[in-house]
Amino acid sequence: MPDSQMSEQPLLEVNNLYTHFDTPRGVAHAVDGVSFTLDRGKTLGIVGESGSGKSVLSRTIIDILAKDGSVLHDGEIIFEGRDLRSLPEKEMREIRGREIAMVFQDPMSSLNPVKKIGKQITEVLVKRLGMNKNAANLRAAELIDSVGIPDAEQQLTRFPMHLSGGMRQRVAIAIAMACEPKLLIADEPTTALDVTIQAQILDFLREQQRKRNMSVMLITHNLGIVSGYTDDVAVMYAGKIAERCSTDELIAHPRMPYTEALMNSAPQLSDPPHTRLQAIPGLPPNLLNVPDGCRFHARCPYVQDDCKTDLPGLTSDDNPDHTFACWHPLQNKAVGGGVQ
Amino acid sequence: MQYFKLKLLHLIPVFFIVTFASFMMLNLLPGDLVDAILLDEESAPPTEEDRLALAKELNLDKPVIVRYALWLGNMLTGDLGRSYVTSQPVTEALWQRIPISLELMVMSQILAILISVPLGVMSGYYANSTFDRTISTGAFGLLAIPVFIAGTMLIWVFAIMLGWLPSSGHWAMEEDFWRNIEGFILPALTIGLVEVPVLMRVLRTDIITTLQEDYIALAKSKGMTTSYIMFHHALRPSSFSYVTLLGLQLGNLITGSIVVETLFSIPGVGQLLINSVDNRDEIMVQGVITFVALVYVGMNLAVDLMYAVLDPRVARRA
Repeated sequence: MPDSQMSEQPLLEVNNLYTHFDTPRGVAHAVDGVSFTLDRGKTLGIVGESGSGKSVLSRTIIDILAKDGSVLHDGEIIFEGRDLRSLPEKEMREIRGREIAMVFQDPMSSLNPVKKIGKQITEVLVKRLGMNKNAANLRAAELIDSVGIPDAEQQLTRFPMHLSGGMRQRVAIAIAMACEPKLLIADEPTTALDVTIQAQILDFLREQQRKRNMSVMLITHNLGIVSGYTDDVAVMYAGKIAERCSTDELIAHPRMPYTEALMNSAPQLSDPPHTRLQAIPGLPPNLLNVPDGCRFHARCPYVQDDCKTDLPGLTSDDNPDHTFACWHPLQNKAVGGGVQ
Repeated sequence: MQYFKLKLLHLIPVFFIVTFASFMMLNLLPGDLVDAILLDEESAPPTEEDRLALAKELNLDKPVIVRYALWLGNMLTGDLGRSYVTSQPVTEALWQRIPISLELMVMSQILAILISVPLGVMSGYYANSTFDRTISTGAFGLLAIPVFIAGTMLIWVFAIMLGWLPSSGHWAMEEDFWRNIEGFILPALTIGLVEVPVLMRVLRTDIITTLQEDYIALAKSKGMTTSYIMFHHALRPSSFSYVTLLGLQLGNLITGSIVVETLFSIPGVGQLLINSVDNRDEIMVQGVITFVALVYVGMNLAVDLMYAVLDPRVARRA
């Protein structure tokens, strides 16, 4: 395929993806008809509350959910022109780690506590890239060094318990970078870390991304992170995408009331001290028993009768690149004081 | 090292309590030991003088506490006394039989591990599948079978019906190595099989828990194969309860080997214990119990040390 064509094609295209969990209490609609595209070198933010299906979405893409029949999938995940869902497990394993890598939320639990850090990096290099042990050790030390951890060689013989949370997350990133993947899925990579470390890690991720022209799917519940570190954004609510557009557009003109509510619930630096945060009333819907109509209607301040019965699809009006799932979208007006 | 010392210190009182309690309990057995020994011999009825002389010789005229103290003192110098019946030194009798029992134990543990680890890992991975249910049902069935029945069934199938293995007896290792191993297979399998269900179920449960961990998801996202993940990432963090149980089961192992050694006519420590109890050879019984206590305490120490090997965080916490 000629280069020009390659670059026009998005790296990742997800079409109408479903992931349902068949549980004893019913079917949980964790990912319910999600579509989006991600271009090379770009960062897509996936934002939503806990339980909105964003983590399941990421695990579906890299295909690491259980395969015991309790997880049902439908739809397409096109990665570089190949539908990952139709690939046999063996070929999918070739893609995991090498083409698509993942960083998890909690570095305290995502590193194996009983394996030395060096081993956790070199096993990828040996098993996936066919390096010999010595070469892998040298490369692992380079990787550790490149993620900004001092005394790289000594770190290889240490266990995760010897490192702080921020350091562990750097190790997790080093593992993800080991095979120079084209796509990095970062599932809340900084949620478990101190605020000061958060910025360090995210800056570092962005630097790595630019160096390697890597695409990143950045999953977060924090709109502040989205505004600072992503090109495009998809807001997820109850397994569906509620709004999708470029990050600047979303911050400037949110159309879906849920997005507005999310923005209003984030603290603003311009707020006077002791300002009460505007929490979104109610709870996200139970994915085992999703409501009729718009899934947000029970919590929406602008709810109308049709919202309670008819499920809105993603549409757009004047800006075709800005889609939202709402019968009564907000008009183009700026909300709040902008997210910090 | 600190961890090791601490553990060792814990075990010393355990050892004293066991030997003391067994000494006291043996003392409580009804009947007069002197009479028992003298009446066994088919000579004239013992005179009062003979009785006193023997009691004095065996220190039986002293209070039980003093006798324990004397025994303990000798024991610490490596002298466990002489058999009341054969006059053979207890340590000598033990040393003749320990290698045999040890070989039986080691082989039975190897077999138990070789069977239970793959089964536990697989039924944990395929939890609630048909495979898992079949294995679990089989395990519960096996759990209900006592050692002597299992042994008898194995003899019936492999020795009598198929004729592959000897049904009983023991051959010295230096005479015929393969014959020796062959003779141990059925008894070791008998002891091992009885342990498998519990070991397997415990490992299965821990594997299921471990598989929920993020580091397993990370290993998957690195593109590692399932078998590599199971045996290199999941097994070790899942083996805590398994190793504990393996240590605890040593108690069963010792009692199990008594039955099995009798069933398969293997001249090990278990058989020595049974014979000594039959003959009221109390000093020999005490010697065997001391040995068993030593093994038990030693194995528990080994288990504690295994924790530190399995998870480096343990050594640091202590």
